[in-house]
Amino acid sequence: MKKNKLKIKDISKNSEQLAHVDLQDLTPLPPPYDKIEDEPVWKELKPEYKEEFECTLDDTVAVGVPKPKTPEEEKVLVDKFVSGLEKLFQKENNWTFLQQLMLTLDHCAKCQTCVDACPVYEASGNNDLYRPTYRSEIWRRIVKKYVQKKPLASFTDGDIDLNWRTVARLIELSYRCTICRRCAQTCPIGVDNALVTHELRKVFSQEMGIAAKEIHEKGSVLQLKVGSSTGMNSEVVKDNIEFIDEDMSDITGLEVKSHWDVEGADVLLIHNAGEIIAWPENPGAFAIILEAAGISWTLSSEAVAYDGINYGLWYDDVQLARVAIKHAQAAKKLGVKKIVVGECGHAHKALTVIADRVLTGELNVPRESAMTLLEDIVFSGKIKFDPSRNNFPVTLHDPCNMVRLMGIVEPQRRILRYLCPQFREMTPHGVHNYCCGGGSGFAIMSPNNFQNWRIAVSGRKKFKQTLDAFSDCPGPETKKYLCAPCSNCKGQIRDIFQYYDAKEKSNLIYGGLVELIVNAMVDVKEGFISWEDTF
Amino acid sequence: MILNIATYLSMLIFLITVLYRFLRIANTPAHLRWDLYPVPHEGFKKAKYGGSYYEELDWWTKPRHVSKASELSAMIPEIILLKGVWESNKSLWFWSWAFHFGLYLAIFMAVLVIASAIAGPVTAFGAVLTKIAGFSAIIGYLLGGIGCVGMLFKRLFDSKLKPYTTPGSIFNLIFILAIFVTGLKAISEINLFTTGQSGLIGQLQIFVSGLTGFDSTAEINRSVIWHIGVTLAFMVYMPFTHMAHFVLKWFTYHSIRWNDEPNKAGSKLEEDITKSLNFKPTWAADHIRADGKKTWVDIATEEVFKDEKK
Repeated sequence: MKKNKLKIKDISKNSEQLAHVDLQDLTPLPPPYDKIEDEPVWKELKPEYKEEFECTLDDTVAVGVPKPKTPEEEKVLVDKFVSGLEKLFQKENNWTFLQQLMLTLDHCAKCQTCVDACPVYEASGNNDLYRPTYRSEIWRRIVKKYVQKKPLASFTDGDIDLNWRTVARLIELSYRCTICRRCAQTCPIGVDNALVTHELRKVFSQEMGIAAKEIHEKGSVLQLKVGSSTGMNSEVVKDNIEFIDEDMSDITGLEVKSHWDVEGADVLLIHNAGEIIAWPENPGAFAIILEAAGISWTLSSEAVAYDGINYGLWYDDVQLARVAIKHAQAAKKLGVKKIVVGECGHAHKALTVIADRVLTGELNVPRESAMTLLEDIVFSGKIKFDPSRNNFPVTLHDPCNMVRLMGIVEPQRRILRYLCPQFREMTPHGVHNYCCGGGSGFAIMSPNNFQNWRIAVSGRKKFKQTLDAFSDCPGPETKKYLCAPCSNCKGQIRDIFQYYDAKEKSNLIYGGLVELIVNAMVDVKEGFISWEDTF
Repeated sequence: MILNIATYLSMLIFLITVLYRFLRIANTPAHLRWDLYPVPHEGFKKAKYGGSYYEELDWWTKPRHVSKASELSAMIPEIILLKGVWESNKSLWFWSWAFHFGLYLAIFMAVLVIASAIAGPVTAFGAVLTKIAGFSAIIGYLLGGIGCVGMLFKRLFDSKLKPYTTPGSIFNLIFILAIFVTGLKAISEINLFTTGQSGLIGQLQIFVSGLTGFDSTAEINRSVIWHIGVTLAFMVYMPFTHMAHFVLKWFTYHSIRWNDEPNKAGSKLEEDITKSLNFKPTWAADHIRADGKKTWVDIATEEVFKDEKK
């Protein structure tokens, strides 16, 4: 078992476990989270599970690839992988990312400038397995040797062996990167390791039918099958929103009414449906704000269109296109002027940026972020605010998809600077932020002991950043609020805070942006945000 | 004669290979967006913090501003000073900068030699160009050589770089080092600044004049021949390697990281996307339901999964 000095070729070796995460190596957190003995102990993988599934990458398992039982099955796994890699370089199969991939394949200078930008690598105590270049380099060597069959590939690009263990480990390894693209931001040449993760996942899904269950089977497939990855059909979602409206009316003293399927509305609002189940105050707060501002808005009860998630973004171009088209078709059917994406980072990027080159003709309905609409409302004078109601320390998490990958940086900040007197930034922030650690689907993935990994390792940097932002008031005597305008990020932050008992130890809660806006509304009963009711 | 023919051939191979690699990328189909912020052409104000046009309400109704000045202000420090490496990899920066800047100066020297050969080395203007070329050569070769040696040490002994160093990486550095070393050797043997047969820049000018005038009778010092020969060999080799990034980096930035062009109805981009959407994929996983006959549009718009049991 190796912690460091991992070699590229080790991926193919018949070793027991390639790398180990030692809790002692993790980057320290500030007090009172600094004692390693207080760090929750990781769940062990069961021996019978290890017997059946490939578990030799590190201490956790995200996908769970069944071990091939015969040499024939091993060969099938390898052959399918090579076939998928070949398709990555064919325009008919991969026009979507062909240019990006060709450039990333051929131009890495192996300078390692990107490695220190990776929060997973850093938080793990620089564990070589999590270097952003590790999986890319393996992929690059395999492509050169086994797909392009380049003469002298071992000399020019480095050697590698391809066997079933390489493939099975790569499947797992493609789920140890959050695709936050912080590494890509630092590459002087413009090479993109996160793209390699994305494209590897694509081969596994689109060619081999292998993906993390939570994002495929229970994610995009369920969404396309019943309408939402939450499992809610159209009737259930309407019932739930009605219940939320009633609840919000009681809490705020205002009459809150969400609208369904209003033809010709100015705005079709699409939430991440996870909000409806886990954070009902978020869609409730949206309804309060839009109603108070007199916006003509609607929700859609069309299957898929009442759930803004689009998990295909992280692993499967076809699933991405299917969901994006459903969203656009619903907007077209209602004849709305624009789609506004609620507080969900990946939904922002999937529908606004990526799908921009999928939606043509009438399906190209204008799409924008809730951040800009909210900024316009807050500064329009239509709603009266009392910022002193938000007079507690607030910091902001920048969802990667919305900020680094879309450039929506300032609208949410302008709102927070206006409505939250004690707003303070994290370091670094904006487009140089750190991922919450739940990106690329991790926030909804907790198979086996994967939750231990995604919190203690991939979420560690974000937790440290959050605590550092409140270093002037660390104790539980001060109420503190982490604003995360993204559903998936909130899911990850919820789990981090629970894991480390942050509510108890630091009086730290999290929530969205709209909750802070409503909390400051003069017409709303005081105390919309409650420290008592969280968790 | 042989050197002249080798030069023509090397330059031809270099140009054809670079052009081939450029066109190969340029001719890939319209792809999905993969922008990464900051995007400097958003203008100085927005580029400073990484903002985009998505920060504006009803952005599609507003004119799109693309600031080339802001873009240049990001590109120049990156090209000249390797700003990105400075910010993210300080321990490598000096060696990498010296290496790259040495190459820039060597290329600059070559341009000046050509220009002064055309202007006529004996003219006042030609003499100035000769002097500058001489300084570029000595500084460039020294800096480049130092950078090469430093990078070699980093690649061989730095624990961060070593596991990712291939024999090819070492070969490339030694090859480039050979250019600088042979150049320095020539400088050590011949007066650098003198025009005409007795100076290094002078000999290079005579060589260039011979190339442009198809005259191969010029007598060139052995060490200069070695220097030219190694440089020509590298010119043939380099476009086949990752070092072609000197040209293809244009795509990684302008076509990918900074490509935020929105798809508008009736645009050329929409036309290109429509073509791509009509490709017929053959992905094999069951849920894709590709058969090599259906297009991307067919696959993405057909009702799937609904018939399956929950």
